[in-house]
Amino acid sequence: MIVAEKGTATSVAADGEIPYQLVPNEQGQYADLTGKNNAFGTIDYSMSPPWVFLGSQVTLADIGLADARPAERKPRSVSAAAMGCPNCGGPLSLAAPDKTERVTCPNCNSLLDVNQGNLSYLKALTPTQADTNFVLPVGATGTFPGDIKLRIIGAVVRSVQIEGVHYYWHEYLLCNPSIGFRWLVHSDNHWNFVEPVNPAEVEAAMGSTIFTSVPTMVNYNGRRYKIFQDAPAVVEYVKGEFYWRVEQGEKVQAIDYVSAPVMLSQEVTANEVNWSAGVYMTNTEVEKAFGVKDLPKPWSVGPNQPFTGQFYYTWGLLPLALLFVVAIFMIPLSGLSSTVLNQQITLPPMVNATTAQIAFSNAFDIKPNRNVKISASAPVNNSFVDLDVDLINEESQEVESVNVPIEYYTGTDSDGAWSEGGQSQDATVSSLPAGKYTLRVEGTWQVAAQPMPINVKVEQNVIRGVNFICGLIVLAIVPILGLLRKFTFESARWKDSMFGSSSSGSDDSDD
Amino acid sequence: MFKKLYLVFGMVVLLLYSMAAWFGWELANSGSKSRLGVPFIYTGFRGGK
Repeated sequence: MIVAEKGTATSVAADGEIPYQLVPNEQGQYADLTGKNNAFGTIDYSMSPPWVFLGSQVTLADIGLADARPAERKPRSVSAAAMGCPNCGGPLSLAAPDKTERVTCPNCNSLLDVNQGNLSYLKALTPTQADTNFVLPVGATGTFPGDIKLRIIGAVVRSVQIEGVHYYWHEYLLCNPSIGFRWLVHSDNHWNFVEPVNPAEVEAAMGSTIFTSVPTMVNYNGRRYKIFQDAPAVVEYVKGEFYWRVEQGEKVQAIDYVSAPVMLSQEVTANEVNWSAGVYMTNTEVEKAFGVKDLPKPWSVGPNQPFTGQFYYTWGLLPLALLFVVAIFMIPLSGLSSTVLNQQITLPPMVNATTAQIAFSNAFDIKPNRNVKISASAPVNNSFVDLDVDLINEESQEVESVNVPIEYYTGTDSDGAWSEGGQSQDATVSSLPAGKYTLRVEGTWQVAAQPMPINVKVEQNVIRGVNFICGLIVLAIVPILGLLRKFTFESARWKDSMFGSSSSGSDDSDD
Repeated sequence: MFKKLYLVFGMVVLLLYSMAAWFGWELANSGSKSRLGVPFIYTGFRGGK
C-alpha cells in the first residue's frame, strides 16, 4: 500500500456509540493508505502507539445506498439554496452542499468558504491574464456514455509556466450524487473526460528511467504510458463550488503521462498524491453531451488525441498481403515457363547500309493465355544490330511486332575499362491467340558487308514480375501515406512535450 | 466510407492482377502498339506493321 494523503484530522461531530472517548475538536495526525483492488487503510496517530485501520473502498451501490442517496440530498439542497453571500448578500445555491468546501459568489466574484453550511467571506478573486470565458456554463448538465448525467458545478482556469510562457486551460468540475465527482478538461480546444484513479494501481514501468524523481513511463490497467509533461500547475481563476478548499494561486506538481486516447495525470502536493485518467473526447461528443453547437475546433494535436488513420496501415495492408498470396499461388496455377523456339538464323550481307535483310524461322506452336518473350543475341562488338521481329500467325496471317535492338560497346578511358549494352536483348508481349507461328526477322546492322548470325528464342509463361511490381506500388501508396501521416501526427503530438519523443506505442482508436 | 472505398479499390487491383496472371496479360509490354515502359494492358493482336 502507498500513502496517498497525510494531514491533520479534527473530530467535528459524532452520533451513536463510539468505541473510544471522543473529544470534540480534538486533532490528530493521520495518513491514508491505498492499495490494489481498492484496498484502503488509515494510520491514526492520535493514539499511542498509532492505530492502523485496514479495509477496502466501496461505492454507495456496494452497500445498497445507491438509490437512497439522491433522495436524501434533495431537502439539503433546498435548505442550501437559501444561503446568501456574506459579502454582497446575493443568493447562492449549492449543488453539493454536503461536499462543498469553497464556492464563488456569482454576484460579487468573491471566494467563500463553506463550513458546515455556513458561508464566510475569504477574498475577492483577483483579475488574471487567463481567458475566464468558459465555453460551457456552470450549471449545465451533460449526458455521458452509459446515460450518466453530470452537472457542471465549478470551473477552474489553471496554468503552467514553461520556459517563461504561460499555458492556460479550463477544467470543469462535474457532479452526480450517485457516482461523485468527475472532471471535463478543455485545453487548446481538446477535451478530456477525467476520472479518479487508485494511486496504487499505477506503477513505474520496467525499463523506465527516473527523470527529476518521477518515472518516464508508468503502467496502469495493462497499458504503458509515456511521460509528456512535468510542471507546477497553478489555479488562476475559479467559478462555482468545489469539494476542496480551492484558492487562487494554489499550486500542485502536475505530471502527465499519455497513451492515446488516455492521459494519466498525477498531482502532487506536500500532503497528497492524486492520480486521474482522462479519456479524449471529440468536439462532437462534447457538443452532443451538452446539447451545444459550434464549440471551437482544436488547431493542434492533443497530447492524448487518438490517431484516426490507423486503418490505412493496418487493414489497409490486407490487399497488399493478398497480392503476395495471389502471386505465389499463380505460379503453379498458370504453369512454368517453356521454350517454344530456339534457332540460329543468319541474315545475309546487306546490299547497302539502309536496306534491311529478312529471314524467317521455323514454325512453332503458341499456346493461349501465356505471355510471349522473344530473345535475340548477336555477336556484336562495338557495333549494333537493329531487329524488327514479327510473330506471324500462319492461319490468320495476323502479325505482332516487336523491336529488339542489340548493341554492345566497350573501351577504356581515364576511369578504366567500360562497356555499354550487351550482346543479347529481349522483348515480351501479352498472350497471343493459340496457333502455329513463324518469326520474320528484319535487321540492319553496322558492318553491312558481313552476314549477321542471330540466335532467336521464344518462350512462354515467363515470370517477369512487372505486373506484380505495378500492383505492389499501387497498393502500397495508401499504407505508406498512412504511415507518413501517423509519423507527422506523432511528431506534432510530441513537439509540445517537455520530453519530445515521437516514438509512440499508443493503441490509437480507429474512429 | 473512404475505408470501404479503399478496400474495394484494393480488391479491384487484386482482381486485375489475378486476371493478368491467368490470361497472360503484360501491363508493360513491347508489342507493336504497346512499347515497353508504357503502362498498357495488351490483350491480343493489334494487326501487322
